[in-house]
Amino acid sequence: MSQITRDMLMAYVDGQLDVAGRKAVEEHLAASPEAAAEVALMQRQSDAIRSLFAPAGAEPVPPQMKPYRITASIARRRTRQFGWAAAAIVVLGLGMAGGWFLRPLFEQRPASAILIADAINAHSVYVAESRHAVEVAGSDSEHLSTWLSNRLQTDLGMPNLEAQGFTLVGGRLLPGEPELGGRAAQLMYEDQSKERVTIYVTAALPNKEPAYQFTRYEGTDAFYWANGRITCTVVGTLPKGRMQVISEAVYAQLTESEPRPTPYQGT
Amino acid sequence: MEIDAANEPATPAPQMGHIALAEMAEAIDALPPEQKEALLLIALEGLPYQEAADILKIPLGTLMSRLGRARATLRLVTGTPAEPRLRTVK
Repeated sequence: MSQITRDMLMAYVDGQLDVAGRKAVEEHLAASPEAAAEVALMQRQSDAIRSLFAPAGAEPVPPQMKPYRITASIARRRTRQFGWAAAAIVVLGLGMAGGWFLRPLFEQRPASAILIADAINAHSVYVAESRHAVEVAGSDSEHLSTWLSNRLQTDLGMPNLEAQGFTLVGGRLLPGEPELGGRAAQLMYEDQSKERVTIYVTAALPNKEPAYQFTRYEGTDAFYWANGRITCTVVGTLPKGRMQVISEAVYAQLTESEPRPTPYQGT
Repeated sequence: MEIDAANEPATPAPQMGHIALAEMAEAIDALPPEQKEALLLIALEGLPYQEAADILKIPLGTLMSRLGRARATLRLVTGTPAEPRLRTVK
C-alpha cells in the first residue's frame, strides 16, 4: 500500500531518493506504464536542460563552480583577498630584506677598500700582542724577507725605519682575500715609547695599476698604495705628521727596490 | 567503438532534436525566475533538494512545488500530455 506521488517520481528522476525510495518507485514504474512515461518525460527534460547548458552541463561541474559553493565562498574570498595582499607584502618585505642583507655581494667594493680594511684589522689585532706580536723576529730580517717574498711570490725587502725612530719587530704571514692573492705579510715596527706601526703587503692586484689612498678609520690612519708589484698599507695611530713621514719612507724604500723597468715600458 | 557501444544503456533515452531543444530553451527562458533557478539547480547542478532549498532560502516544499510547476510548463513544449493521470496507487 504505497502512495507514489508526482513529487516522488520527480525526486526519483532527480536522483533524490534513497535506496528504499528508489525501489518503491521502480516497483511502481514496472506496474504503471503511465508513471513510467511520466518519468521518461522528466528524464528527457533533464537531459535537454543539460544539453542546452552545455558545455557546463555536458561535463561534471567542477565543485568550485557550483552555485552554492560560489555563494558560500564569496565571503571567504573577501578575506582571502586580504590574505593575498598580506602575502604580497610579506614577499615584498622578504625581497627587500634579502636585498639588504645580500647588498655586500652586489656592491662592488674596490680592492683598495678591502685591503685597507684588512690591514687596519690586522694592525689592531697584533699591535696589542706583546709576546706574540710577530711570527718571525726582526732580528732575523734576512730570513723574514726571503720567507715572505716566497709566500707572496714577489720580492719584499724590509724597509729600514731607523731614521724615523722605528725598529723592525718582525713579521708574519696572514691569510688574505682569496680573490686578491689570498696571502698578506704584516711587518711591525716599534719606537722607543712602544708605539707601533704595521705595514701590510700583498702581491700586486690583477690590474697592477698604481694607486694611492689615505684613509682614517676610528683614530687609525692608513696610507695605501699599489704598483705593478705589490700593494702596501701603512697603518698606525701616530700623529698625522709622523704617519706621513713613515709612510713616505716606506713608499720610497719599497719602490726604490723596484726591478728595472721592463723594456716595453720604455727606457 | 564496440566497447563504447557495450557501455551504452540498453535503452538509450530518446534524444531531442535541435528544434525541440531550441523550443525547450525558449520555454526555460520564459519560466518565472524562481522556477527557473530551482529547475537549474536541480536538473543541471544535480543538487540535493534540501541544499537547493537552503541556497534559495525557501522551504523544501516550496522548492518542490516550483520544480513541479516548471516541469509541467516544459511538458507543453515536449509535446506530452500536460496533466498526468497518475495520482495515487493502491
